[in-house]
Amino acid sequence: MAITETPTTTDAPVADTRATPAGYVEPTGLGAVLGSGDHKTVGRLYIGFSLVFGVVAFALTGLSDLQGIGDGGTLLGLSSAFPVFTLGQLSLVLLFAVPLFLGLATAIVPLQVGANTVAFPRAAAAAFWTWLVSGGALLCAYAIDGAIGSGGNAESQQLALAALLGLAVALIIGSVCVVTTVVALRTEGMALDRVPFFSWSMLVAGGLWAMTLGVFGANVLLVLIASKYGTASKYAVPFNQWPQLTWLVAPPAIFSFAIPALGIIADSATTFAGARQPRRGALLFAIGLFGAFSFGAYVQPFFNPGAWHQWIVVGQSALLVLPLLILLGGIATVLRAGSPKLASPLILGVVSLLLLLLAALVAIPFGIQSLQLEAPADSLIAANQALREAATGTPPYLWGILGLVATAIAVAGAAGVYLWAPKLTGRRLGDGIGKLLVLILGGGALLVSVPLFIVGFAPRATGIADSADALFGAAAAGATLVALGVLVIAAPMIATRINVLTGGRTDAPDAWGTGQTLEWLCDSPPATGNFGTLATVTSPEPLLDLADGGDAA
Amino acid sequence: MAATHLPPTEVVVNDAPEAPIARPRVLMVGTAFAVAALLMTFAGLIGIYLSERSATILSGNAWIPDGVVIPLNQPNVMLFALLSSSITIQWAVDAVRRDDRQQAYLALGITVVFGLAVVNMAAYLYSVMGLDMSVASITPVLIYTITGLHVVVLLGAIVFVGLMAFRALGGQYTSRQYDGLSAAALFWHAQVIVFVGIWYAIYITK
Repeated sequence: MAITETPTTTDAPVADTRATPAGYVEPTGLGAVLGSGDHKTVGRLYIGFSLVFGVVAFALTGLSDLQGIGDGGTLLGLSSAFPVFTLGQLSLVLLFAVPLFLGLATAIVPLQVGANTVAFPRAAAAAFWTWLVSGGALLCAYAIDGAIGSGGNAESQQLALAALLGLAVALIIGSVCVVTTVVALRTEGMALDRVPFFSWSMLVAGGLWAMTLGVFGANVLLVLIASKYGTASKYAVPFNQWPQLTWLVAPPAIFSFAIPALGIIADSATTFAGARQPRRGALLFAIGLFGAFSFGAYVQPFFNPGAWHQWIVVGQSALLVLPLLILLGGIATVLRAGSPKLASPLILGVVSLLLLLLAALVAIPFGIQSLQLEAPADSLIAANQALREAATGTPPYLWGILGLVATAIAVAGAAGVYLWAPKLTGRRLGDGIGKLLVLILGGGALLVSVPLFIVGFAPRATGIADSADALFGAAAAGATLVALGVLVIAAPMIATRINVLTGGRTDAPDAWGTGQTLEWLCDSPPATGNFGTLATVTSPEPLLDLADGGDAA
Repeated sequence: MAATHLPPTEVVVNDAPEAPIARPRVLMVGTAFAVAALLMTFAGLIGIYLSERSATILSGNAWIPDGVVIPLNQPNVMLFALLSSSITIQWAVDAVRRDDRQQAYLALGITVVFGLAVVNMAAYLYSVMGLDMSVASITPVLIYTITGLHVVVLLGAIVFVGLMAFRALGGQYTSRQYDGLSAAALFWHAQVIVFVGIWYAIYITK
């Protein structure tokens, strides 16, 4: 047989490497969660908390948009507008997008590559707890007048900066654990070009995140040292602090946080098409290309004014469309080759890809200087001091791009959670709710971004300024809708997990019946140690080989 | 039949040396990615330093504040010590590869001493530079952030090497398995490379 002689159930001999030492008692209750180095537990914790933070992040984004209405001081007051804005933007990336994918990867990547655990399991657990504590510290610091760049309480601001540093370090360590798993812990026969799409995308993303967040950490460290010891330097001036960090939430860097979405999309398509992916190498290449074009740590307008308009950055943004089109073509090919089931992960995946394509397309004109899309839209917000402050370093057009990419990530995250729910919780989630999510998140994505793209053109079209209140109101409604959608991702997952833990039924290993990769070979949910001894893998679709009854390697 | 299910065959006895253990170099790979993040952090900081220095000089202002002298003697000695330590850490790896444990302990010890000497020299350099953080200039902030972070990384590298030295003392590393020591050496070399960048960008070009 072509893949693995390992056996889905009982009929073939398997050396069970999952046996625990004599006298070992599996921890239960809170101890099993707090002290666990098991990659599934750590992954679930990442996903659960990132979704909770995601609701907060999109709610803050909605509040920021509401600030754009009227004179900007009516809702939160002028002093709160800027903190809400910056916390919303930072949370979308550091508390929601990256940890959501990192959680999925920590739980699923070892299963996909046939490993018994994630590399450095204790480091992965430590990274999660560091991330959680740092995230909590960031929220606390903001709550006690410590918003970065607001000129509030100096010690609270230093706490916020230290928390950002902690977040960057934790996410780098988490990424290194996942990437090392893909590189060094693959089962026998699984060459890199046979790695499932999601694992491949995490290899690309994790490497890029480690480097991007390293540079971000350097920026944060500089602001922290300046605000503590070099208070007379320009770096310590409150109004200069946020612009030093904005590159992280702007193109092209923002697209690097969406790389794993491509892997989820491709894995969903092949799983539900029930066919082998034709020209698989082209899709792997496309994901790698997307990673290369989304590297943006060098595009820092604070230190290099005009960086967004340099030809290399504009070209890079334009080229981002290319790998997305290749991926779209690849998915269309596999869906035509098979007989696709219209399950919610597939639909969510396709919607996510279309949203990313839209985001990549609208990012191109942002670099064209003559369009003035980076202007803070003073003509629009002449009376709105809060918005003008918020816009410093982050023009409204960029809010739209960030909102669209973050929502595409939420949609891809939902696809991943629904696809791998049997491994995360023990059984599939309701497909109807998954399809409802398509409407909620898809609609939210357009509402949260398109009005802000229109607002971005306000410096060139005075008529737009007249409709500004309505546009900002629509964007706020979109952000609220997405926050609701993120809540809808989390609720069934948590409920199902609790149900399974309290004795509810679990699914078969290959819960969808069309799985192709190794994660569908282990139990739902996987036991400690994941697999027995796997035989040699001889193709990217081991389960199809098994079904075909091919020979062993 | 799959490679993992091979049946036991007859035992062949010969005098050939034991083959190295076929195992994934997990710690080495993980360290390589951590080193990539570290190098990017310093690339970001040194990039900002050079960019700000260039802008300041082009605008007709002095980059180093008046009255501040950054001597070259100490940085040169630090560079020499770190380059030497790169040789000694590689000597340690080679010694373990040859199962020569006495030389390995000696080489690891010398490496740590070189590292501590550089930390000491950095502290002395700070005291003689007289670079005041309270002046209204970004130069002291950048210099202290970059060089201070390097000292922190160097201390981390010393702890890493020390830990691996204790493991070597405990007999964990032999010619068949010395990944931990190779990983520590990789991290050490990386911080030496970082210092070469700092030496040129900050101490030479000033």
